[in-house]
Amino acid sequence: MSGYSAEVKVAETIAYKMVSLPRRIIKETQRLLQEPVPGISAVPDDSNARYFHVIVTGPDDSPFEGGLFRLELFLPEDYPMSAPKVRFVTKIYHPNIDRLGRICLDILKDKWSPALQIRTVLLSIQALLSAPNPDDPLANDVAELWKVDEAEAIRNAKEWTRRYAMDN
Amino acid sequence: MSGEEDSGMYYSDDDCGYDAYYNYNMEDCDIDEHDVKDDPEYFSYDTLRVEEVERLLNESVEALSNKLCITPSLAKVVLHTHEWAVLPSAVAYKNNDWIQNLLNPNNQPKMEPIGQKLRCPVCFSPTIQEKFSCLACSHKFCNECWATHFEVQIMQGVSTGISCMAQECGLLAPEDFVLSLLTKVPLREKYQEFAFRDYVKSHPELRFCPGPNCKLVFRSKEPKAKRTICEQCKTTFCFKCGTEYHAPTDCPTIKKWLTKCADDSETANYISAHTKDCPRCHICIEKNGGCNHMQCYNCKHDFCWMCLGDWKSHGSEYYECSRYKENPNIVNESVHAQAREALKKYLHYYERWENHSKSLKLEAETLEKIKSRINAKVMNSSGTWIDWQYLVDAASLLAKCRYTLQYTYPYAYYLEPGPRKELFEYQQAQLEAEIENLSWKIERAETTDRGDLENQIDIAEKRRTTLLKDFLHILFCTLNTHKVDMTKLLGGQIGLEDFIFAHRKGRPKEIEITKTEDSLGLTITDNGAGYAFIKRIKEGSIIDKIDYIQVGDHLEKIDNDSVIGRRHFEVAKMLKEIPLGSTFTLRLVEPIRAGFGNIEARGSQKGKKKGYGSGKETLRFKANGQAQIIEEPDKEMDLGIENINRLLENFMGINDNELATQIWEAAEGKLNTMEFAEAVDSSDLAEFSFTDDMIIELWGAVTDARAGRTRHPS
Ligand SMILES: [Zn+2]
Ligand SMILES: [Zn+2]
Ligand SMILES: [Zn+2]
Ligand SMILES: [Zn+2]
Ligand SMILES: [Zn+2]
Ligand SMILES: [Zn+2]
Repeated sequence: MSGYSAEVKVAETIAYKMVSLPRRIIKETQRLLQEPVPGISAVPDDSNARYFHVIVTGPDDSPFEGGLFRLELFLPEDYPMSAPKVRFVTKIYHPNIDRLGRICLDILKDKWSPALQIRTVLLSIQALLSAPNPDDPLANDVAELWKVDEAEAIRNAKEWTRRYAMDN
Repeated sequence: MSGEEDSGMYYSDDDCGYDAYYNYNMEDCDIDEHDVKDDPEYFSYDTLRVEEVERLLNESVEALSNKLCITPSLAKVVLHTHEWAVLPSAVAYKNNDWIQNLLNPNNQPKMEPIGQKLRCPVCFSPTIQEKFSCLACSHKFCNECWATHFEVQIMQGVSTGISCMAQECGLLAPEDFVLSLLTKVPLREKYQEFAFRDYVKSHPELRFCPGPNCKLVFRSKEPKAKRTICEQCKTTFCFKCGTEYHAPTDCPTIKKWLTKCADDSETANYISAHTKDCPRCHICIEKNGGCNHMQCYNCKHDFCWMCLGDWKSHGSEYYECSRYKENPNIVNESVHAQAREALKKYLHYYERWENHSKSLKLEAETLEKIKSRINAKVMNSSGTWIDWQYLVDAASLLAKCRYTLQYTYPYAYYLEPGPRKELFEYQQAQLEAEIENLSWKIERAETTDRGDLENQIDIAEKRRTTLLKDFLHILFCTLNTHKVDMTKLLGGQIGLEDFIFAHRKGRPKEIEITKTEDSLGLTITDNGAGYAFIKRIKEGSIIDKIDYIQVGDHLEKIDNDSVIGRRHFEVAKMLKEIPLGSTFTLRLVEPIRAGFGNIEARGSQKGKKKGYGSGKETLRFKANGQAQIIEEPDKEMDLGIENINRLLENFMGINDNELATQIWEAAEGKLNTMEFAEAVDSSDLAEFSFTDDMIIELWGAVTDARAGRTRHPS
């Protein structure tokens, strides 16, 4: 994707919604499109520039390797004073992600700082896939298995990745 | 676990009001003041208005800001994070601990220069340098971003917790910083309101009135889980946790219990039935009064609403109704059986808790009925309103007692099985029996004798205060001896014939000791409830040479460190670690020894101020349901027992202290030979078939002792 088309796209969206986006969101969007993070793509929705379609590639050497995970990211009215809302759309077997795709990540909650960006959030999510943390679980049954039988948990995670994150 | 560790007693240490005990040594102790403080529910607090609270907070702010030469705003931040204690705040500030942890110099957001301007790391807008601000951490952001940040936080209810915007920088923004950048007036007001709320909440001596729309604040210099009543909105609550007053249950336990009840409300719902079938004639009976002593309108059978047992068994053995008998073999049962047992246990306590709460409401209705009946009587010139006041008093005391009784159940539910639980449930049963008696008499007030009712009021209230007081101040119990005998510590189950002597806190003493040898010669144990005490003193040891330190003494402080709440091995370790050759101060509290307060005739109690609870008595229980909680023998009792013994020897050729004590006890509260004879006949003493003459002689011995006379048999 070229930088040019991204600029146009954002401009179009603004025209369509008749709202002015804060400079911060425009700048972040531009940069996400111009210099995408390796393994992550984030594209604003055609009709809502605060809503992003995100695809995270399962990190190498993780049970999620080879999978493409779809997420949705929404920038609330208060952004960046409030954290973006992020959720996995693709089913994933992970101790810090529940059945509804909600993510247990401190920077999305109390550790949010307005100086953080979409980019940093997505990087953190990618890191979470590389290093699951069963001691701070959101999905208790998954975390439990991860602690008592990691091999079995990893097998499950691989199976889910194959079943839900590779079809498409 | 060794016996030293497991005396099986434990309870929260929150409410140890020692003041009452400390005072009693003072020579100029005001009698009235003294009595108020003997009340186990006595609690001193002030009511403050918002302005007064602000003044109070400002005093601390000023003190700290002067001491450290910092702005009042910064002083407020430090105080708020250190429970408003000026000295610890100053130390923390000087050590810089609190601030350094929060700084993360590696996380300076990028400040990209654009011409004369800098790009703000949050809004990305180029802004002139003058329009940037930062806290002590020097994380700079543009003023507009700061303002928006504050607005968003305040809208979420955050005020004193607002911190720097930089990642991983938790430095708190002081009031003046926020207010200098926040322009919107309504938000400024909100901020100040929220901050005030936070300050009060972080101040251990302050508590907002939990009453709806009530703005009053209460202050106690010694915050405890005690009853606080708002003079404005009349809300009654626990000062410490702000929920409904809950003695004798402690704050964490009542919280656990209420959460459990809310979670299990479905399971417990079936209990809410207002009707039960008479256990004899099976006719359906509706409960419309508070009393749990039911009488079937059809067959006149007297039974207990709670367990449906015969009421006759609820006199001395009420114990069997109120306490839950755990299955001792439950650990060997299946998981399913254990779950069923757990539910059964919960329902037992829940049913009683719920039932007393309902009784409270029904009795409130009874009180209203009583009031209107009194009105009608007064209107018909049948006595004056003052004449009938005793009935209203009785009803309100009943409510007070039942309230306490209701709150004994959560406590009992969580008590581990053991002597402490036995003791508690024994007292609970005693209270319960007297309350039902009182309720029964009030419901039949017109036909109950006034003196009888007033007597019942006294008994019920005494039981209530005993339960409240006792339980919180017991150091340890001895079995079958009032002496501080460490070989007779209460350890296992209470036998039916056992006497339990509860030793409570007495005189405090501070002793300076120089550690001249490695071993102090102390064996320390604890009651499992936060009180460590001396079990043995080795002969010839350092401690043995100090006459003031004795077996049974409770260790309260080593130098300035309180050891209340510590287990015995922790205390022992602390003592062991004191370096050889150094001098330290032990603060000890003596258990109360023999030779204390007074036994009083119930009827003669009125108007007299007594030293009950002044640290002058040891409590005494008997587990077979006969004996009372009474004060340790004093001169009067000694004399009484001596007199009785002399009679026994003369008439029956025996000299038996135990029997004499029992006779003395039977006479407690009795006003004449008839009452005394009745008491003797309805107790174990009936076996002796005393003749009328003997009864009259015994009564004479009792009254003589009460008057301080020695009686010689005629
Ligand atoms: Zn900072
Ligand atoms: Zn800015
Ligand atoms: Zn109030
Ligand atoms: Zn409380
Ligand atoms: Zn019947
Ligand atoms: Zn019963």
